[in-house]
Amino acid sequence: MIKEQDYIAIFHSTHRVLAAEKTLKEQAVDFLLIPTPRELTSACGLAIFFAPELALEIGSILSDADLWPTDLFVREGSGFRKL
Amino acid sequence: MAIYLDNAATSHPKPEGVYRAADRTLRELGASPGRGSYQAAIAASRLLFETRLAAARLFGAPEAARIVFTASATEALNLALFGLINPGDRVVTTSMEHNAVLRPLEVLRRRGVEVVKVPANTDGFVVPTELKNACTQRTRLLVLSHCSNVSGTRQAIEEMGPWCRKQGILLLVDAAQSAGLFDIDVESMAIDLLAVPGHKGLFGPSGTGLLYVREDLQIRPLLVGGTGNNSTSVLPPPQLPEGLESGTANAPGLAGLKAGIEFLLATGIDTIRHHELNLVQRLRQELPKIPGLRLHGGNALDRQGSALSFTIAGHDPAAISFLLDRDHGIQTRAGLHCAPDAHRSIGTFPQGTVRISPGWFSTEQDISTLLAALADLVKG
Repeated sequence: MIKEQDYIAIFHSTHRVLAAEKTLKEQAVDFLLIPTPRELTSACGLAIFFAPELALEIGSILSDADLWPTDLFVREGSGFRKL
Repeated sequence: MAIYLDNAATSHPKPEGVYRAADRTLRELGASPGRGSYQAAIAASRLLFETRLAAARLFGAPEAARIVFTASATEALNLALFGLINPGDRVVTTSMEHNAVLRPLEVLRRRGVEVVKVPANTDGFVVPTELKNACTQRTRLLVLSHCSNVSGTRQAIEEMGPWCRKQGILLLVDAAQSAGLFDIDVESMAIDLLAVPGHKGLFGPSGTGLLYVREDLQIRPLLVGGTGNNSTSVLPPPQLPEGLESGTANAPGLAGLKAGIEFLLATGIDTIRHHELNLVQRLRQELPKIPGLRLHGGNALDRQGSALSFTIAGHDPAAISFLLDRDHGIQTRAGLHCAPDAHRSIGTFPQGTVRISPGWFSTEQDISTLLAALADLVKG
């Protein structure tokens, strides 16, 4: 499901990840709410997953809504690189 | 059919949408909010999220994450008081408080907290100047009820909030009798902590309540346990709301609360207040015509909530309430209403009063029936 260079944004609370989901839905951008991949240490079981070409737009929407993720990862090879 | 005039204890009946939301959640949703990431679990999490947004909107809270769900206003008050106050702190309160404030404060007093109680006048009103004078020494917190559950008297939160903020004193408001009846804006009223029952003026099911905690105010949890996140941490996470919400959430109750808040917002607080205070005003006018009956609390309607208390000379309040129920099917509450000091202030301790508290679903006819029943009762 997760392809090379895809992004995973994780948040420190269920409330915040759902706030991010609501904001992104309102902006009609393409993303998925997924269980946080096991190898990413996370405070929350849910993460926002999106394609690299949307990174700038989604980053800007979340930043404007004061919902910047706790951690942002990008898929590289068989693992994730923390940004 | 019974006439319910005990809305100060819990509102009844509920708007139809409240029953439906609780039933649907229990019957069809099932999953536990914040636990698991399958679709139903996420839907349950969204339900809590949306309930929080609705509550934040109702009270003007700038950040919905600062709304913490509890089982009652009592739990919210306990969470605020035990989570914030330390031995050596000084807390100012009033004589109009419910035991949900008085008893936690007594426990804290025995642990070395200084508790100062400012008496109300016989109207049940606590004069702001007297509160300010009591706060002249180094005070950590002022805690007071917005509206009395005995006399309905509304305190001057709008004056005390900004004053406390200026003085660096935290303000905890017990909105048990005012939430859903009077406009409460935590920002403009400078309220740091707001304790609210879900099952009274907000029309939710019993077993629901909330505490608003101002941004940057860190309080200790009352309960610790599973939060559904941060599982490797030996303590609950510090962030709100999860850090103060250990244990499985009352999803059916909170679904009902969301429907209740939506009903309240759609109907309009002003409309609800206008209706309830009209009934109270009529009671104020008509009740004193009953021989021997005396109303307690203030006369000014502008500081009146939707509860009021009376006694009838020569009649035990408990007997009046019993006869109203047995012979007329009218449900009222007699006694001290868990607020003994309030009765001392208004001069009705220890016998207490009969309390009448109409709600949104009470009618003019209900009031007429009550008045006729009381007239009948005093005739013997």
